[in-house]
Amino acid sequence: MSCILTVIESKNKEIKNSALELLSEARKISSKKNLDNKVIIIGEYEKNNSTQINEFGINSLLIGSTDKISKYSPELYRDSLLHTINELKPEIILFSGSSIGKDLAPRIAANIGYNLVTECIDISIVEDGYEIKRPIFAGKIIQTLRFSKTPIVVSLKSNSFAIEKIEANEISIKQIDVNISKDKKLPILREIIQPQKEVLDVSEASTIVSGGRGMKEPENFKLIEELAEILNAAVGASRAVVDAGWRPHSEQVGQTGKIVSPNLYIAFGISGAIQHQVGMINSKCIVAVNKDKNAPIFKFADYGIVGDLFEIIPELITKLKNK
Amino acid sequence: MNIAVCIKQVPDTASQLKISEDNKTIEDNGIKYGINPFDEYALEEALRLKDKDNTINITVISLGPERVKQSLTKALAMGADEAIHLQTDNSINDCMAIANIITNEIKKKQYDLILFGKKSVDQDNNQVGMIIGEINGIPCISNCSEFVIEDNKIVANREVEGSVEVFEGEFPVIITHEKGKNELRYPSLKDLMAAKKKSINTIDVDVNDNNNSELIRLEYPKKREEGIIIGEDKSAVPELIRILREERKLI
Ligand SMILES: Cc1cc2nc3c(=O)[nH]c(=O)nc-3n(C[C@H](O)[C@H](O)[C@H](O)COP(=O)(O)OP(=O)(O)OC[C@H]3O[C@@H](n4cnc5c(N)ncnc54)[C@H](O)[C@@H]3O)c2cc1C
Ligand SMILES: Nc1ncnc2c1ncn2[C@@H]1O[C@H](COP(=O)(O)O)[C@@H](O)[C@H]1O
Repeated sequence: MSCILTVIESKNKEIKNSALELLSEARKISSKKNLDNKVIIIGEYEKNNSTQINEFGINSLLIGSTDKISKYSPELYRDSLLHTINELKPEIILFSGSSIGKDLAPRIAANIGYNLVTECIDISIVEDGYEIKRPIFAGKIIQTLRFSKTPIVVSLKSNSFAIEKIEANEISIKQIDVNISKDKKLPILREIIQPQKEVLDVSEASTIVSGGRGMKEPENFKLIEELAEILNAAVGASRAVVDAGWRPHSEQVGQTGKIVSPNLYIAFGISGAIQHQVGMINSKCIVAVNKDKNAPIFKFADYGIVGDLFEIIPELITKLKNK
Repeated sequence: MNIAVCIKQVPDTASQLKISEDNKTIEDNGIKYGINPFDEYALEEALRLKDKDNTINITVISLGPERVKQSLTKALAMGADEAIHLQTDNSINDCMAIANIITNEIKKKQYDLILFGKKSVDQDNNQVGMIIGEINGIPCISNCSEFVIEDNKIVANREVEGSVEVFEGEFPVIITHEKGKNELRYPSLKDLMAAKKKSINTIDVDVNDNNNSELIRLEYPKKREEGIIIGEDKSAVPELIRILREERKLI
């Protein structure tokens, strides 16, 4: 029986939340196409931790996890995966759109000579294969591609697929060998620079509180940070404030920053230029606070307050604090 | 040291795009083209290395129709030494085909460092740099926001969710570049005039588009409905909180 292979990632020995989207989609595809539903996890993982993984109709779970592989290494992950892929010959391989998925999927596709379709937002099964939708031009256009020849490699855009669990089932679990390349010329991971305090990344957060040039000064982002903390949100920024050095690039939302689709995006003092808009227009709900009633952002925000953010953020903080 | 920077020409990020009647192409008239922003950042990084060490030679490479010459000329005006135009009139969307064509070119010279953008903002593929690394056996460090050369090694910061991974590698190496920390330089009119006199090495290429996908259609994303203005000052805050909490259950 032909199979679908889904590559999921772990964090703190648990499967990442983003994996649930992949697993939901993999289950749908496997049941519609009658494919064996196989999942591989590479990286630190302890199977006892995962209570959820058996609710996605997985037939077999392959674990490639040793302490040697706790940190991401493109070559190590690639070689371990290639080994498994050559054995299983899946007709479709799913990756997530995370930074690991973005780095790894093209390497895999190049080595096995499959086509890679990145940033997919919809996969449907048609008579002779798959029809896949993906945004192009930063989401200004959606393209539909048909693949009548398999195999293919697909990476899913984060926050684009619904998480659907089914009744728990028994999964056959197999530990796989992790091949360690001996080539010394490979790049080595020298260190990981962590921010002083652990921050939620805009690409993973379900709520984002963003600030733009209307914040006036970098110090004023304290207000944004405080509100973000109350809402368990990530801090986002427009390019104007990133270029001014007020905020790190990792927070930039937009065409040359991150393309995000949280449940809630709140923008303070951001005009809504097209390059910012394409980065956040797919948020489920957009709230904008801007003192200029003609700011373009009001054209696509669900809720707006025309007013001074220096009045409104403190009021929000006070009101949210005493529920 | 030889550096290659692969630059793709793409519609300006501010462009309004119109889908043609066939629902499969974008109308070309009225589109302003420029260098893919991430490639421009990559080029800027290369130029900054050259600012410090004038023996560095920078070649810019672009695959595309006649109009990509404008972008190559701009790159020369910014300070690149040589420009190679891999000319084709066909539009190519197969990343593997693009990677193969660029591979043929970069094999012709001993490049120590080959730079790409992390992705092209027209097709948003995010692939070509890594594929070229794989098919040539050259290590690739992707999604870097900055890099330096230390003791004949490259030290590059790869941006990942919530942290930065610092990789150290030997040459030759491929880097795919994020938006950098450095501001882009703008060539003066004089630089542009001078660049127009520099020659661009044009090579006709055969495109072997093996992509097994068929484009079915292009469409616009669903339009967002225009929302509501809740109020004009902080008196609107309680209503906003009520909506987000009770109606939308978002907070
Ligand atoms: C190639 C390219 C790529 C780009 N990529 C990105 C990108 O990825 N992300 C991005 O964001 N931009 C990007 N841009 C830049 C974009 O065009 C805009 O310049 C930028 O988004 C503007 O940022 P802003 O909204 O913070 O600033 P502004 O446009 O200056 O807007 C500030 C807003 O704050 C409001 N304001 C001021 N004071 C107050 C107050 N007290 N209370 C309430 N409101 C107030 C003003 O009314 C105004 O609307 C890109 C541009 C180019 C050319
Ligand atoms: N036609 C092209 N000519 C030159 N470089 C290209 C071309 N297409 C892609 N690239 C390079 O590959 C990078 C990634 O592109 P992509 O995989 O399409 O997102 C770009 O940022 C460029 O550096």
